[in-house]
Amino acid sequence: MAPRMSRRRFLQTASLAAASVPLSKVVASAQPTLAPGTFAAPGSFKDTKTVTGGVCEMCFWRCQLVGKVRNGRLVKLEGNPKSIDNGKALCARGNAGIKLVYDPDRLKYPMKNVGERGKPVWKRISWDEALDECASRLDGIVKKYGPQGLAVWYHGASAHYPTAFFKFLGVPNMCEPAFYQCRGQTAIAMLHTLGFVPNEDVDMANAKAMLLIGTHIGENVHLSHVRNFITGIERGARVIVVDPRFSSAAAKAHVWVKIKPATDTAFLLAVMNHLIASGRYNKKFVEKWCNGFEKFKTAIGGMTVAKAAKICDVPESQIVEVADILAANAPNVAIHPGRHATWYGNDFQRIRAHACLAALLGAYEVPGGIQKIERMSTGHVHWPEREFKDDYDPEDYALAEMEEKYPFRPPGTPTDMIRETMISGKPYPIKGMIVWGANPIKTFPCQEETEKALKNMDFVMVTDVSPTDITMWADILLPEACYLERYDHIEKGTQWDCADKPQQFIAPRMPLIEPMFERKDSVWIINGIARRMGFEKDIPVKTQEEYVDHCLKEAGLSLEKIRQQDGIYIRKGVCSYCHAQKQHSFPTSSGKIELYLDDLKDEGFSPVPVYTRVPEPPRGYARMIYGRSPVHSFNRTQNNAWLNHEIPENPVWINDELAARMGLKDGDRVALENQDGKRSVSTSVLKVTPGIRKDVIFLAHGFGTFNSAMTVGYGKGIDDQSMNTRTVIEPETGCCGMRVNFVRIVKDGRPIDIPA
Amino acid sequence: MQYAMVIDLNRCVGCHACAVACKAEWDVPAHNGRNWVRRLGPAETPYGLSKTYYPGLCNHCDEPACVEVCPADTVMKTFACPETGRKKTMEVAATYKDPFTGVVLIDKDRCIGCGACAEACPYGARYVNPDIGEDGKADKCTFCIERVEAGLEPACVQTCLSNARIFGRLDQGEVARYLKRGASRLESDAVRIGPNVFYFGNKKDMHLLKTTCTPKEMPEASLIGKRALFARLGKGVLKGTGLAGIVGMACGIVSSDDSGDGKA
Amino acid sequence: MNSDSGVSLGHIYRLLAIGMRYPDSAWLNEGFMSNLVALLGEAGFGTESAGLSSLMPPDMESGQSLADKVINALQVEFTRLFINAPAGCPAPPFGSVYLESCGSLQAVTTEKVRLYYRSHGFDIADSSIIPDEISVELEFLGLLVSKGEFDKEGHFLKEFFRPWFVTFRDIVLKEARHPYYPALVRLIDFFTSQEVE
Repeated sequence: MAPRMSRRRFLQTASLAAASVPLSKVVASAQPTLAPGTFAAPGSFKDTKTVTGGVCEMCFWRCQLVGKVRNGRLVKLEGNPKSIDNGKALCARGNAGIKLVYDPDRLKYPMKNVGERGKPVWKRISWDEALDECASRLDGIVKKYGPQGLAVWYHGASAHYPTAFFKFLGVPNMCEPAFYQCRGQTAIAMLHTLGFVPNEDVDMANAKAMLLIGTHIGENVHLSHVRNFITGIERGARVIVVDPRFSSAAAKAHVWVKIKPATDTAFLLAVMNHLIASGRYNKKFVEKWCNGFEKFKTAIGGMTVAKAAKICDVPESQIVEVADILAANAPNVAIHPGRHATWYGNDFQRIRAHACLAALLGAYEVPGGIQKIERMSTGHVHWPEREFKDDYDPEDYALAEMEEKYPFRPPGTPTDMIRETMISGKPYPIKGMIVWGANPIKTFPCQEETEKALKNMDFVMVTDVSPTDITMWADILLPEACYLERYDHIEKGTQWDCADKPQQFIAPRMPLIEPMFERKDSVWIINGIARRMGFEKDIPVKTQEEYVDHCLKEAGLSLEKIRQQDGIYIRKGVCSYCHAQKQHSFPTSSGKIELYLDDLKDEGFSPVPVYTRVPEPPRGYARMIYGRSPVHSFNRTQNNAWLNHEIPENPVWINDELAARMGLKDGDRVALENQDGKRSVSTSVLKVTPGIRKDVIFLAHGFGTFNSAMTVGYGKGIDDQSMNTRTVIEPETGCCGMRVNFVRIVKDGRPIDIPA
Repeated sequence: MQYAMVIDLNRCVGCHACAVACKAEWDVPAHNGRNWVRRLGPAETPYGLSKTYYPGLCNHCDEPACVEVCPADTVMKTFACPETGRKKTMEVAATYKDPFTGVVLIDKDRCIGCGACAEACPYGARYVNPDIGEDGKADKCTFCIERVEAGLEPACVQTCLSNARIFGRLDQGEVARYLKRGASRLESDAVRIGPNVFYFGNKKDMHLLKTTCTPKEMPEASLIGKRALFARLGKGVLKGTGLAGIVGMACGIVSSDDSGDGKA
Repeated sequence: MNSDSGVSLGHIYRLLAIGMRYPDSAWLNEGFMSNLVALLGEAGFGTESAGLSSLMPPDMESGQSLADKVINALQVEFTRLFINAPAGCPAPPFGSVYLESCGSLQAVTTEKVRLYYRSHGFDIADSSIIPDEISVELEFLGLLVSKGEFDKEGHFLKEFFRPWFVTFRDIVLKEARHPYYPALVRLIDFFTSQEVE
């Protein structure tokens, strides 16, 4: 509709006499958003201010950053030149951090769901209203059901303070699903076998040979780890990669063992058996530092090279070749401990086998071997000890304890036990779910179950940076400052090359820019809730800064001091090889590496690593395996415009001969359907290649975002997790196996069987 | 001298950091790239299974196809040698090759955004950035010469986590050493314009790279010429042509242009 | 009743700026609405004016619950249109989202807007404010005209505001489910389009 007059004429003639309040008065009462300021000239990269103290969280390797800031805008992120870890380099995700900060889809204000849970209609509310509601709803649940009526799924450094608060509240069941269903199991298996958790501290840069099993460095871009790997290759290491797929690492390997999935333990046992049988293991090391060698030797004696070759579907000669390479280069061999390991529900034993193989080769704390890296230590912030009403003890309500299950579980309650109780109300009702930085929809199997559990709650509170899948299930959704806008994690590490001058560093995360909109950090949010629940006097720190300063005090440091050091404090370190020259220490119950672990036997499990068969794919299906995309951290980065441009979806890998028989071509658009008839919501592109076995389908994990509020990543690629309608819970650990589902290809709506 | 870059595929893991760092450094739109990484394979080669990458960028060619097609008015421009300070004045259009550094650059103030140069490049190294100016301007890798002049490394080189990108003078240092070891160009019989980006890797990876990523033909010159002329007419920058002449000519071209993709 | 018959463009800009803020009883009241209704009426948007005139109860005491209902409905609408929503909020009220092909916040164009503010003696009041948010740009235009800088107003409109507002306006007109925002963007359009050469 066209207005009848011009603005000029309007201003000459218009009268607002009809208005009840003078316009001047109406506009004078509102706070202005603009204030008098000064002019600063724009500039190129030369005119940016360098802000130090950033610690990356596009993944969890946590490279140290600087920000280039111009006119209040973060223009670019670069590696902190002072870093002895990543140096000036960053990976694609690290570089793309500014597209997360400035993503218009990010959460901006606290919001209340005025629609249905799972089908939200959002209304922005004030922080006061949001915190009032969270506090009263949580309090109501605690009053009605006890603290055990709440559960927490969390992830990342910003969740440390919140989980400490919920522990203080007496909440017995908390789980980090992305740790439980990833490396938690690796850590716990190593801890029981070695007495320490080596994580991925393996000296590839100085190894003469490397063995990677199901580890795909290169697609998994942890910066200094990749550097370690590439340096090792450049220095001449022989590289063995065991993988059903020709991964980025396999492409750089000398030996690619194209193993049948789910048989790695058999392969490892055969290699060990062969080494022992041929007398080419490190007798001195084993004698001095290993427990139960004779029993171990006997127990694995049945897994001959011939037998394993059949199980693993690889040539006998290749198993022998691998054993030979390892023996010839021992002890300077890198037996990679692995990272994500929750595959088949029998993985605890496989990880133990990794540790045992390294032990037979004496590959600990020597150049190339698994290292015990000494990092600086920092303190913790504790909420006070609390007396609960009626002799309530959270331990008594911890689900795994009550059911006496999973004696070798990683810290926390198995994700799946929490979910089950949310649904069944047994052994007691869980009615409030707090999700902090986690996206359990994508993290663990059986999504319908997770949704059922969430629907069963009286209250769901979610805190996140972006509108991920889980945020659709929130009643109250809280926007968190991202890693570039807050203080929190204190990164501790050493120089990446063990052979270099030993150094240790500490880099607390410091903000590079101020948060926009009403995004807040976890200390601010939790204190707001605590205050409203009547715990004002128990609050241990007032700000995130104080939190970090408190933790730094133990190391004799402060934020101020580290600021003066450009964000990274560096001091002389300890050579990790020195232990071997003096004295190892394996703080297990035997004081040695537990080739034979009595504790396992006591709990009714095999004390020696054992291979167990897993069900084969049904006719017409292949096993679905998954991995990583080099520019994505699973679902977390899917909405990043730059990363989406680099790799927008997750190609579905299929063997070329199979594809030809099925009439499929490279580049076809396909969906997946699993053994239970569950079809993927979205599609992806087919990648036809000789670089994969015929009995598996591979795709990268984390794609196929369900929440349409993520406008870049929504529906791009296929969500592998949606194909996991089944899982196997590992009896030792309670972790969910995620390679136990089978799929076939769907093209143009028509399912196509995978030929046998 | 000539600046050059070597990509060592033995070190490259295909992480795409180079492509993303460049976007941040130069505000490149999300859907374009001054540089790129293409993921190749796994595919069979005569030397075994290969999976490798094609990290591409402007080749700053010895005989750049993009420079000669630029339809913008020429000006006299004086260049100075960064080492000796020696000066040289040349007549250049909006894109030109620096006679001292060998870097091919674009004068954004004079670029008319016609995209002829982008079409002329057999490597696809140029694009029209819609965010610059009213109708966009051509954009591409500059070897980060602005950073280099300030004593920094190119953004992609600095961020490369495995030091797979080596930048420097063609005739000196690391680059020269790689050339001696056999680093080679992506050239074919039809496309031989002296690219100054070199690739180094094992036999199988180089085979896969070269068979899948070497341009096999030069973009057709007549089409590019027509587009460039068309653009000049649209912008009214043709020297010595009156308004009537421009309109008349433009009409003539419009009626004979069946493709309809002219950018008047 | 309004005794001030002189209408200042500066005040109008501020009113429009406030009107694009998150609905809140601090400003969204009968006084505000009556001015908006009057402006719409005077500018020839009779339908829109009539549509909004009955929205806010004149007697706040008795009409409090009705006012709360209106505010609540507008809050849900504002959140959906401009903050976060399934399928993405359709009209993020930030210039850079429309002006740059990446559609990100705090992009190069945002920086240019901020520099423009600074070169005219203003800056955002705190760092959580996005310089090219619609209400901030409108407020700046109000400040310019209050200082009598009509040339600069015209320049800012032409260079910074109109190039994205037009798209924003069309999306709001298409996507809105409540009459308030279509009326408001029509009025903003009226006051920002006519003087631009």
